[in-house]
Amino acid sequence: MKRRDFIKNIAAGTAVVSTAAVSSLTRSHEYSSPVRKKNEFDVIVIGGGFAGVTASRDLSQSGANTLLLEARPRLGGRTFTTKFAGHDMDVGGTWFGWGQPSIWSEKMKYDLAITESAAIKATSFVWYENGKRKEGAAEDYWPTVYEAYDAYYEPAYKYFTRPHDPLYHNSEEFIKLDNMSAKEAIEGLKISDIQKDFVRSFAAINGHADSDKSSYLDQLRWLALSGFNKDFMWVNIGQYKLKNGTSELIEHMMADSNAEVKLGTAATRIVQTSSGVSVFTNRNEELKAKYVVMAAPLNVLKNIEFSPSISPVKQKAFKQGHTGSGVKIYIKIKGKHPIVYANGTEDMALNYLWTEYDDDDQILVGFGKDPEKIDVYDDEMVQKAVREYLPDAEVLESFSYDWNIDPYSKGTWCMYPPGMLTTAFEEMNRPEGLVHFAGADFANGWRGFIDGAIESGARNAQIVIEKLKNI
Amino acid sequence: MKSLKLLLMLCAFPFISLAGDGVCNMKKAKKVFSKCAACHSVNKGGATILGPNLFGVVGRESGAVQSFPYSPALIDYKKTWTEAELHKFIENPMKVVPGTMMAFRGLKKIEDRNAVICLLEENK
Ligand SMILES: Cc1cc2nc3c(=O)[nH]c(=O)nc-3n(C[C@H](O)[C@H](O)[C@H](O)COP(=O)(O)OP(=O)(O)OC[C@H]3O[C@@H](n4cnc5c(N)ncnc54)[C@H](O)[C@@H]3O)c2cc1C
Ligand code: HEC
Repeated sequence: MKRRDFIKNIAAGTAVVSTAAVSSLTRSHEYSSPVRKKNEFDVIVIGGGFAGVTASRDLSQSGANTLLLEARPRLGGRTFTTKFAGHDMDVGGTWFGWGQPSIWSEKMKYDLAITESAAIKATSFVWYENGKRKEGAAEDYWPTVYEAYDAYYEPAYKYFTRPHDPLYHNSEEFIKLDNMSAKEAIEGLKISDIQKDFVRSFAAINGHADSDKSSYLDQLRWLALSGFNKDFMWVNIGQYKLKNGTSELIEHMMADSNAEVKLGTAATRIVQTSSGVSVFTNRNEELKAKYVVMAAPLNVLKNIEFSPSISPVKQKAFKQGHTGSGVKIYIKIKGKHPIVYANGTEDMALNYLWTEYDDDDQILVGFGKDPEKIDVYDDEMVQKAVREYLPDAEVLESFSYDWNIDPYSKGTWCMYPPGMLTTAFEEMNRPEGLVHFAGADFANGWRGFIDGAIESGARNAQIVIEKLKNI
Repeated sequence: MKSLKLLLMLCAFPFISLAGDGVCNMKKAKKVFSKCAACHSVNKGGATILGPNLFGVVGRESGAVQSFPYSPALIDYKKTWTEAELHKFIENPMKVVPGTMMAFRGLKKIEDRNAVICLLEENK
């Protein structure tokens, strides 16, 4: 599909079509051969997030007749650019940095403009010490926090010297760290109780769940991936974003793609036989292909039926899922305010809150590890959570996308629970016959990030391209 | 390209009619509708953002926007969106229509639902 058409379709609201004529959900492109059989493809890519969009672009560019099958009425997956408070806002994945090779090279290739989070220029810092609210400047906050990070990340220097090869240092000691939760590890650090509070809150946000839910070892990657530099880690995870939102990158990638796209159609069952793979959908269709790239999120894979069944290790991992299950919320407050960066303790409704847009009515972004602690649709509750940091703030409006209840994500970003990296990761990446697994949740490097989605999508596309050559 | 971008922006901005009959508390309605607006346009001919365009939804059959790929669950629901039906749905969509793609916990407060339904009635 040409970029122009894709954008036009979106603009006219016709990127999706009548449910009565389900077959017309398939939009063909001008290069597809008119003689090939309907509903038969070289490759079906399931899931149109960054992994699936990358994989289907690369596969179709290699000449493979490719279908991109997407359950939702839109592409982008756990990234979604929408309008809120007058901005093109990403309510899912947002920030990225130049320490993230896969997404950064796409940004350079398509020459996309970036902008920065307002919080980069924060002048006001708010935090909690022994249940008491504190306020100060950067130099009152960061040194204590960075000292705590240093203790927390210590094993990373030893075990992640090749962070894109996550099992490179696999050993008994390595496995021990993987079986330990972040919370357990923090308990044993030689830092003050206040510093432990800081790191617990940080670990809870990184895993987007209680700090005892995620693997300590898995948490250690981000620093290693950032060249063991704490400032650079924050550059990668919270500074730059695409000026027009992540949807602009999706649009460019799709404009470069020759894949057919079928929106609003979910895969429910995957059957492999000697003659190929059949993908059955929630609209009672059967689609056939030589290969499948499964690029749906880890947390929804347990709802897809595989025949023959997949390995027990995969089954267990899919059932267990990743830890990401917290809240991200944009909040517009009345009036202009100093740019703030606030960080509370793990048990607070919002663990982090910072200024994202320095508008006349300031727009904050907040993160909480637990949706039970804050009803994001209740502005009174949101106001109460904000006032724990900014006692005079008046909430005008707020928005949060509930990724946890969305049947096509069932969670937010990926961090592994204890043990998954050392017992399941390798096996999760092993194809099941003709079915390959891709996605941010399967990535080698920046697992859990847009970068990891692109990395994994591109790698799996390349493997399938090679296999197709040998048929 | 520039004008297309502009068109995109205009489409994404649900134009909310302010010419009410005075019964709606528009300030409140707009505030509550900002929870819906990230996924729904409500202006005439508005774009699909994630959910279907809601212009004229009050009194409409469910699942009626031709260009929108409703979930099989909502296709099978087959109700008319009366005020009462909307109240029920918006309070807890995923319970009222199990299997819906509308990932939304629901508006638990009746005054929030009233405000939003009032706004939907104005946009027809
Ligand atoms: C709130 C939030 C904030 C985040 N912040 C950042 C950030 O700042 N920076 C960053 O880099 N990352 C961030 N992430 C993580 C990042 O967004 C994801 O890791 C990445 O986008 C995942 O890409 P993916 O293609 O692997 O999966 P997804 O984007 O989840 O794509 C999978 C696709 O599969 C589809 N699907 C599911 N089931 C089926 C089915 N049965 N049949 C067909 N299709 C199906 C889904 O609809 C979806 O489109 C954030 C995520 C969230 C939720
Ligand atoms: C997270 C995105 C999202 C949010 C937020 C959201 N919706 Fe929806 N809505 C959807 C989707 C997607 C559908 C289609 C559901 C399906 O096909 O199962 C839908 C369907 C509907 C329908 C049925 C329309 C029809 O034509 O039958 C109504 C009515 C509706 N939404 C109203 C609302 C209201 C009012 C709000 C705010 C209180 C809201 N929605 C918030 C995504 C959303």
